[in-house]
Amino acid sequence: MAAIGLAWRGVVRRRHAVRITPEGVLLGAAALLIAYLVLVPVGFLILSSFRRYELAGSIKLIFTLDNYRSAYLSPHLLSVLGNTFQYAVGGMLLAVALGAALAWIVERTNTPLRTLVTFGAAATYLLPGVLVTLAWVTLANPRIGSLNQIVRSFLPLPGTSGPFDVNSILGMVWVFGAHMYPIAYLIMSAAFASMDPALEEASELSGASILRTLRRVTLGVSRPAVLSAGLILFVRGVESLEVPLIIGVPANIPILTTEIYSDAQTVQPPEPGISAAFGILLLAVAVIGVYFYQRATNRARAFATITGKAYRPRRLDLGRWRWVAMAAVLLFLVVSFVLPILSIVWVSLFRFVTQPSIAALPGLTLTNYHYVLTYPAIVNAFQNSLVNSVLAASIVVVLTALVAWIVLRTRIPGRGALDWLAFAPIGIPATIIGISVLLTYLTLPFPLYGTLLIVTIAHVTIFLPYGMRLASDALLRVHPELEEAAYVSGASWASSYRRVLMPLLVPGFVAAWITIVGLSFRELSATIFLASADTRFISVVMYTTWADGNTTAAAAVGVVLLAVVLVLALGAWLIGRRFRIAE
Amino acid sequence: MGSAFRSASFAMVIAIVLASCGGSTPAASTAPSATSAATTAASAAPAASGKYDEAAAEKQLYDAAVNAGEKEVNLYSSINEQEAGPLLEIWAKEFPKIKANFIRASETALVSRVLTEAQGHKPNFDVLETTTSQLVADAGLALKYFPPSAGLIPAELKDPKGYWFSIYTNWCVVEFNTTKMKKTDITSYQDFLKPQFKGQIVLDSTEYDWYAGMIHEYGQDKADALIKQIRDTNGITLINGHGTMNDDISSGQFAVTLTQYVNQAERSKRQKAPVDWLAIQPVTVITSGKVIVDKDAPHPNAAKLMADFLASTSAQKYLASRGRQITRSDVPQEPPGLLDGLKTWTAPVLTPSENQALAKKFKALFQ
Repeated sequence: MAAIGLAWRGVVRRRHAVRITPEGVLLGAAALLIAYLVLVPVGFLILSSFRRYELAGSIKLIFTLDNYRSAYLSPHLLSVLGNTFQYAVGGMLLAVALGAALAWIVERTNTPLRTLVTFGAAATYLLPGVLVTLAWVTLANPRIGSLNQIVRSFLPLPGTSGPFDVNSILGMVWVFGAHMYPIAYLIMSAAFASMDPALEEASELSGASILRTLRRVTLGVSRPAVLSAGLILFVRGVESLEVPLIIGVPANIPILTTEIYSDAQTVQPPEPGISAAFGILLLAVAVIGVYFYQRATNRARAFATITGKAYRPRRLDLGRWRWVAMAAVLLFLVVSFVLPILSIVWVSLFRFVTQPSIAALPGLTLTNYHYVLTYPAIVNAFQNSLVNSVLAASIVVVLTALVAWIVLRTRIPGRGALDWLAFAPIGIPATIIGISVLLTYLTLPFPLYGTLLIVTIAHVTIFLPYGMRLASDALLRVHPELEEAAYVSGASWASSYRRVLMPLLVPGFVAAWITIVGLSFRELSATIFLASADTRFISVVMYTTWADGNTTAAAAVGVVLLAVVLVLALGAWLIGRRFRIAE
Repeated sequence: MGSAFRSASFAMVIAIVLASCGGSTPAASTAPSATSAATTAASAAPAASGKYDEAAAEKQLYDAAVNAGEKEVNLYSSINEQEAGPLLEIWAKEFPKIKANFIRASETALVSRVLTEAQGHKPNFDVLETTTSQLVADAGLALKYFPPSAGLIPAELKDPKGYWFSIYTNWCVVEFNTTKMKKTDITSYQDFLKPQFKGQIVLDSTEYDWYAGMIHEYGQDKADALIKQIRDTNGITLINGHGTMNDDISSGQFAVTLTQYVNQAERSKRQKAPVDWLAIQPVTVITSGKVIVDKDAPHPNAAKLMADFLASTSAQKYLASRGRQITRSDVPQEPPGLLDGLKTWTAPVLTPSENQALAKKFKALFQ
């Protein structure tokens, strides 16, 4: 309703008069589009959670509470919830801590080789979750994991297993955190990059240590970014499936998603209703999360670090500690990225999964790479994934840039609900979004079925929350006085947005764009419903290759994908340096 | 950081340009075409066992499809990508004027997709091949159709009502790592209690059909007692996915599976992995690869042709070469005699409630 009101009333409102302005129409259209994209799957989610198929010569959907019983009345519900909470909270805390620490080192200090962190984070981020999890199982299996074998060859440890054990809650937390920290890194980097150093300088002049300044000032002012990262990562932890399935199930650590996945596989026909019933819980978590986020950040001006006062970004001189920081960063990159990628590369060079050893070397082969590079579907899948992810990310950034402005810069009633609406999809299982999009465009008279665009629509819906949080964080950092000065000088809204706001919001928007491109590449659950014979996607090809038992071929797909993207990124970086694209 | 972000954006722009220059544009949807008015040539009734002219029957359908303007056929299947590629190349050589559009997904995703498309009144599949195709038949979406070669497929691998037939099966055997045990170490399920298997046994977490076979052979109480005894003595690690189990055995993380699909073990064995398999009698047979034809197929003649093709000599020979256990009695398994002498029991297709009850009992064994 607020969106409709906005579209009709316009942004500029004179006393006792209402004008429809172009910017009002634009903003209203953005809000309406988001409402359309989100309300359809939310409605479908609620409906599906109360329905099950009855197949007796025809397709019937019957009302039932069985989906909720299956999802929530497991005999071991308390222990399942306890495991889920430990995993999601632990993974979230680890990912945020790693991401924030690395972002601070890269953006606020003079640590050498810090640029490597960005490449390392981007590369880790693009690695498919299935492969990363399998890599860690290969590395840290307590009995035969490569890391354990190496450590035991140097240290006289008791027993015959360990010291690392990936088959535990701690192991699961590590795998999740070490793979998902780039999301927190991107969010925090955008926050730190645009921070006025005056606040930190004032803290240091008052006698505070570096760590105290970091804790009380830097992180304090970046609270919206910290909360956004924490919220996104907590929900991703709760809905995570790959780590719990590959590590949790064999280790007998049931998580809510694996219990529901198991039930969904058991019930015939397959019931999206069980996933929907679970999604209601996620939606509730998302609503509560946004509520607390809004409460914590409602004093927007307190978090504005970009004001009318000019400043130059300044890096903290760590002195000798910069070498310690560099060593820590390099060690982390080796452990979190180099080791898993080496493990994946090793697996890809054999016909069957083989533990690393000298004795295995005669079995090395490039068969999997020959398959990957000559299979036409894989090339087509990569192209489609690239075009789709770039398109989806661009649409999300533009939409949420507009809607975040409505939420944070206007007093329109219902703007808080708009914020919730844009964030709601994070609580809807991607499977449900896929099915709802499929059904919608089978019913509506738009010839989108089987095209790339239908997948893009689903991805835009799925990744709206990420764009919304990052756009909000970016906007919170900019003090409204800058726009007010532009208005007072006679600038229109569009001119003020384009010439004053946009340049300051770019770091946040680019962070959102990169985050969404990476997530879109990896998205599977919705894509699998919407891909067609001619519009294939790399996430689906890779997952189905792995699920078919061809883990070595799937590893080769992952390595090729990563290599191509890294080469492109490196090329762009070199070109950027060549033409001196300024900081 | 700003330049890095810009660089990444730059990279993506370059990638877009390269992708646009080199790649194909996403094709339009294979929207359902108008139902052909041409009558189909092949009989809908199961052929008599024995002789029939396969090539002539296929040509008749092929000509009917081409004359009706059917230029493509949509195959929804859970056959893996590496198997499907060469299979569809065989199709392309035999039927060059009809393009096979292959949509690959898991059983669950395929059935969900088909049911959703039906609800949207836009049937898109011509032929569905997966382990749970009978559900789509239960939904009233299948055509009553058997290929002429159906007489060569055992009765228990076909729907008595005539809606589906199987093109391959999964057999439950014991897969083991040859560096950790010998074939003679296990001759019965009691041998899983030996101390050498402590912490070395894996089982798929949804192995309900095998469990049904154990109940059929030993009775409910004895089957449960046996599995619990193995679990308590040596431990049973549950793994999600037969492919992952195969990886775990190949890599030596575990020594032996309580049960595994023989095609998984055979595939690894043919790739010279240190694995082998043995059968504990009776061998439970999981029917798999059920083919149905959509009763509202967008390309009705091509749909029947595809169904016939999947049960044809050339397709069955190809599947056998990939380690699949095929269903036609006149096409030898590979290697010949692979499953000779094995006493089998075919798991019946259960109703949804029966399946749920079985799953509940199975899960209770490990809680």
